[in-house]
Amino acid sequence: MTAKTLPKIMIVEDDDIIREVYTLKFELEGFPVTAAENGQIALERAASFEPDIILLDMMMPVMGGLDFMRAWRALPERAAEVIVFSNISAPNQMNEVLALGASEYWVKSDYTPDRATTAIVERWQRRDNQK
Amino acid sequence: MALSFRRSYVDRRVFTALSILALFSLSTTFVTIGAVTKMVSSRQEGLNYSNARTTLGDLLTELNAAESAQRGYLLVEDKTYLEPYNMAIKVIPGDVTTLQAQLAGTPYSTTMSTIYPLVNQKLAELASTITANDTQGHDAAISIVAAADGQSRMSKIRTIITSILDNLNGEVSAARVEVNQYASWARDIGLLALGGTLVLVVGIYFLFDHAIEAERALDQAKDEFVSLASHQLRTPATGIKSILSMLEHGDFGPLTDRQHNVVSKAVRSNARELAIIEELLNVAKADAGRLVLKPVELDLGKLVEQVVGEQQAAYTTKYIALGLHQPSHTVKLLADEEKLYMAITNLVDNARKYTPEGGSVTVTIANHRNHVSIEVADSGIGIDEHELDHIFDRFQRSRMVLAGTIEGTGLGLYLARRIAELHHGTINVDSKKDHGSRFTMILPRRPQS
Repeated sequence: MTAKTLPKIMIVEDDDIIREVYTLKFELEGFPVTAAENGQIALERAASFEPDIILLDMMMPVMGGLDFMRAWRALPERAAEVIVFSNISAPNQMNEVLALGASEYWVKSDYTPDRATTAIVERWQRRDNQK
Repeated sequence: MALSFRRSYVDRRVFTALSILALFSLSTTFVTIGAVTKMVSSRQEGLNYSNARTTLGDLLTELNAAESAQRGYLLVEDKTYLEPYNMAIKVIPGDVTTLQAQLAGTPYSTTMSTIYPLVNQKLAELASTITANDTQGHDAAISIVAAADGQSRMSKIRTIITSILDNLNGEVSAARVEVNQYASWARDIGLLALGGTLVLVVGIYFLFDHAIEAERALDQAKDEFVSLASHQLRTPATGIKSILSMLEHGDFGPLTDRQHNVVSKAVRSNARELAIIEELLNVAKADAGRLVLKPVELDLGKLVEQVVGEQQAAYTTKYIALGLHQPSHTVKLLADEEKLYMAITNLVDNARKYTPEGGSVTVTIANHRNHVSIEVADSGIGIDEHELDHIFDRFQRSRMVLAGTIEGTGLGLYLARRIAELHHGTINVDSKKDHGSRFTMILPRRPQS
């Protein structure tokens, strides 16, 4: 497992501070990273950036996380894994978005940039090992 | 912050409609009973008059029979002619008594009383003619008949009886009309009651339906509020948390010791803020009835060890000994791990807050037949007697917290109690001022049973 297998991360988040801080952290850790302020922009950017992992917020203006997932599911080519990264911990919403194909649901307030980085790396390595 | 939601929402109109229904049923029932009672008494009255009519008819027939028999006997002087007379004089006194009883209290009793002496005189007259015939001879008897005003007396009796019979006929028909009238009233009121009750019942059904719908909408609004509040409160605190974490990990360059020291304090303060937000949201959820258990089979000893382990550092800093006593065997329990962890943490955290430096806190797990108990006993400042009753209430804080000596949101014990109750368990406190406190949580091994 070498550094060059690091995944490309797209962070979809409307809160400026969280978006900028996480983008900065992922850049510092050497991940290729891009950010989007809402689901609409994320869909556009994903086409050219081709992310491996999408950190997806739920409550956003223009296009929220649930609508993004519905649009994302409809795309023919979609290799990225979606990790929901939200401060809403309502079980019904969790179930809904997981049913739409998200692989995990992280409650944002439980995470730090450091913990998120570690978790993403571990996930990615597990996936590499399985290949 | 208003975190209190009313659990039950039932439309006031439902109560109003139910009251109207009750009053309506009560009044229609009373009116029906009144109509039926009148019907029964009219029927009784009609029956009485009808009986009196029969007796009166009998009396007249018997008097006629007695007189005819006397005449026949006087004509032919054959004793067999007297049989109807003998029969009549036996029956007439009984008829008279019966009539007196039947017409007692009616407007006819006075008129009737004028007949009785006439009847007696008539009977005496008949008897005396028969005796005269037997002892003094036929002519003597005939002269009594001719002299006595037997003829006019009998016609007087006949006139009075016939007039009373006419009246009685009228009374009987009037009673029949009344009975029919009251019966039809009773039926109409019954139909009205039936219709009215149906309308009200249907109305109440719709009102209840509406109330249930409104309650559902209110529940949904509560859910949305809790969800939104959790998002809005957590987001800024999470932003700070991510920045502080990067600072602490040297992502923005190495920190001096002094810098590291203040950043650590900020991290702790931020963690506490997030914990308080979490606690407030749990209270809001509990109040909205949205705190749902996810029970799993768990090892209580391990769970409590985990809590004690997490709290150890804070206890060491305050020089308080934290001990754990548990049975040698595993204590299994069906419970919601996360919530039980929170409840026990609240108890252990509380014990530390209210125990002065150098004190001790002991956590004891005990296994019983159908339940388990977790006891947290401290050598702390204890609780005033007047505070004991309210200690598990929301936002209830001790005098120490209010004086600023101890930190607390006033939600820890409230949540611990709600969590115990959700598990169908209880939580109790035993404490005396300056002599420590002992909190005991008792949980059934299986919350469903």
